[in-house]
Amino acid sequence: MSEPGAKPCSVLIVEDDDNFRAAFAAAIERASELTLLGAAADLRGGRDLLRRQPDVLLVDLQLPDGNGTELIREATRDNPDCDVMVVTVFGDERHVLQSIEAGATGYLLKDLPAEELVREIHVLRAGGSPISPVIARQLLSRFAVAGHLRAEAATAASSDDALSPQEERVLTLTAKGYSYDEIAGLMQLSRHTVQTYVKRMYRKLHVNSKLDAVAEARRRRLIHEE
Amino acid sequence: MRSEAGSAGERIPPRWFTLMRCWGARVMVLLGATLAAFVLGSVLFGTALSPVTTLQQAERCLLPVPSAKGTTDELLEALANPPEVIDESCWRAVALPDVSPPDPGASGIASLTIAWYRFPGLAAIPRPAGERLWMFLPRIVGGPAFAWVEGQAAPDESQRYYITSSRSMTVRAPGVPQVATQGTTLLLAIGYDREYGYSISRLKAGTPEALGYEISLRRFLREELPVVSNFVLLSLGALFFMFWLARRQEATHLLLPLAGIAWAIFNLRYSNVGPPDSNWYAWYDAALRAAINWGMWLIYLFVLRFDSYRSRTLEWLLPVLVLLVTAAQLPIYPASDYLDGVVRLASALTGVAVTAYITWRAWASGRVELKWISASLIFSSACGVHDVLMQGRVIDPEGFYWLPLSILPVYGSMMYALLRRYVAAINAAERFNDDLKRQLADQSHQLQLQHQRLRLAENQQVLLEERERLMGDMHDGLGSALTSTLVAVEQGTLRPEQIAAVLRDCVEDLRMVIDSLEPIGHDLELLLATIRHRLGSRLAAAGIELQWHTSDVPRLEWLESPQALQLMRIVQEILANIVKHARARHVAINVRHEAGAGIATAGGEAVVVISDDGAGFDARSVRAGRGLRNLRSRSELLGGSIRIDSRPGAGTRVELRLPVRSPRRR
Repeated sequence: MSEPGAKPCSVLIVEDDDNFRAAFAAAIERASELTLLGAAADLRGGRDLLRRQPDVLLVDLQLPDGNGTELIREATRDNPDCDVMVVTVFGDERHVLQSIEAGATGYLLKDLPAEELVREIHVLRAGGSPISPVIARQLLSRFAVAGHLRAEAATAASSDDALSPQEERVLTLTAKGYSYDEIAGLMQLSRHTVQTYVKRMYRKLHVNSKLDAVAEARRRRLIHEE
Repeated sequence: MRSEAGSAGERIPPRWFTLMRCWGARVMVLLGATLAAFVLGSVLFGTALSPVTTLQQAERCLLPVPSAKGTTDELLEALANPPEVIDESCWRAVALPDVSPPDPGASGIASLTIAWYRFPGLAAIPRPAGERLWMFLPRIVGGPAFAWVEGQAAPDESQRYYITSSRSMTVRAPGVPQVATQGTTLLLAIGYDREYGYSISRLKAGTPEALGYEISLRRFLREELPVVSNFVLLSLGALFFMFWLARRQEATHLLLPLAGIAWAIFNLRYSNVGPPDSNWYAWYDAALRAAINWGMWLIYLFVLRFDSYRSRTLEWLLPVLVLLVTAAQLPIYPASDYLDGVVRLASALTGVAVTAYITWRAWASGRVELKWISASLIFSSACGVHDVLMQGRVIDPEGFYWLPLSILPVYGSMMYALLRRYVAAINAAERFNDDLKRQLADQSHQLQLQHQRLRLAENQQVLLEERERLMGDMHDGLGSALTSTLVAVEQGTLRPEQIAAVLRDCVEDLRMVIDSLEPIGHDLELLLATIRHRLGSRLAAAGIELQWHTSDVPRLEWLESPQALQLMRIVQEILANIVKHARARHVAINVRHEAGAGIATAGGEAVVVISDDGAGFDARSVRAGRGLRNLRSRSELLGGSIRIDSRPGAGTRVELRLPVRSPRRR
């Protein structure tokens, strides 16, 4: 848990479902280490509240006036210290990975009980991220593809962009169904370290996707200039 | 040359016009016109140019030859030794051309005669100084002829001759006069058999330049052209023979050269070619006479190939006639006028029969090839009649024999028939090719369309199946749970936490369905990992410690979304049983791969073992039995098998076996 006397973590909720927003707000209030910065029901409201620089952003992808992914991007860009968690009903890989590429570093299932919610936020602030076996498998293939492409394009891949062997092993074991604790045991690491690996990998994916986007834009611009 | 398309409408062009459109017709007409123009022009040109004196008067004296055997050798001998002086009273004035018709009554030994001619008119021809004089007899028929000019024997080119052969004679006055003189003297002797008669044409005298043209022309038309035409016939025949060798099934190609050969043999009578000695003459003559009939029969056989109709009469009549003529010509019987007459009649009949038949078929069938053949045969017959009349000295014997040349149109029309067939065949082949190409294009297009339709149908089928599956699933799971809960809520028999539990179950179930649609990629480990990820917390909440171990399992090719969902339900059922009934403290899930032994289990099996240390159950109990049967049937639907070992108080071990390759259906 957090250190005693630390500044409480501010949380911003952007969620259009009233029930959930209310329930979540209540859970945050009950937690001593967390404070509710604000709760918005749409994208515009979320943008306004974002200027207050929350520590944690919880955002739903389906918002009435737009896609929550935009908010994730803005938050990551304007406030790099902010941890973004996307709220999803099923935790399916498509939504999760889309959000991670936009800059999210975690995801929450909508039906989580309040205590679990708070715990997840704590873990996130501590540097860890949740992951599922399917998402792990997808990450493996994404990084493998990216690695191949970089090798073909002969660009100097910094070690930051590719997966380290440790990180790859974490993903492989996750895809095989091992829990954090079991992985930690197998790799002689702490549970927390394993979770930070995951968060690091999410950041790398975000960076990779940004790089790819920039490269793509550059290429397009080049083509335009011709 | 267009037919007038009258203002009142289209007129059907006349038949000759349609005929002319055919390429073959044009070629034939062109050739014929060229030939006619050439002949006519040369004759006119020749006669216009030459200042030639034509003598139409002469004096003749007939002297019989005493002979023992009546052979031409005796004639020759008599001619070689002419009398010193001929009695003046013997000479008679005669008009030229002079013809002595055959006298059938004068047969026998005493019929050999020599006809002497002298030409007083020659003396009246002035002979300028320095000019040579030639004397030319266009035709002498009947027998050997000798000439003496100025008292000296003039050389004669042809040493051989035959009774019926005709030839021209050129006599050159010896020497070139230094001063102008008056004409020259010529004495001509012709030996003949009175039975056969003879004929002599007018005498033409003039300078070599003047006469040379006519002499060359006559020689060309009379002697060289038949040889040339024979050569053409035989060469073309050789070509078609080679065609026949390449395609034996086309007998038409063989008939053409054979007909050509037959006609070439017939034409030999017009040339100076003959058997080496007179003993062979009879056979030679027989072959010549028979050849024309064989030729006609071959032409008939040729024509048959271009017509669908066959005349039964002609089919047997022709061979009979041909064989008759051939047999009758064989020099094994004594010569007889009667036989000769029969033979000539049979020959004529053959020619007439074939020509008439072909003409009839040409107009009845309307076939262009037959029309051309029949036209050329009629022309040929006309030429034959002309030749016969000329030979019989009815017509001016100074003309030309046309029969040897008349084979060319016949041959040409037969070739034309074959060429038409070739062109038609090539056209048909090209059309066929084009048709085939078009058909192929059509069919491949059809095939493409079919493929597209098939793929579309398959896609739709897959989507349909997927939708049905999902709907079925939801109907069974979510649908019934929600509706029963609704009923209970309306009846007020459920507490809020019970409702929450049901709703949570529904969300879990929905999650499982979504999970089954996630990209598992045929990976059993990933699937079970996902199940554990979902249900792990529930086990933990029940205070159960889960021990998880997997080793590499190969892809299960049959593991698609529907099967994934089924598998998830099976495992969920097993784990739910453990949580609800087993009161276990430890659960171990083990996933491994077992290599298969033998063909039936090629690829091996994936083995999932879920064991717990709970209470176990009695397999004989009814409820357990029903549950077990459920699990068993579900596993078998996937093509696998399940084995459950349990004893009360000793825990439970569930072993699920799934094939790696396509599942065995039971």
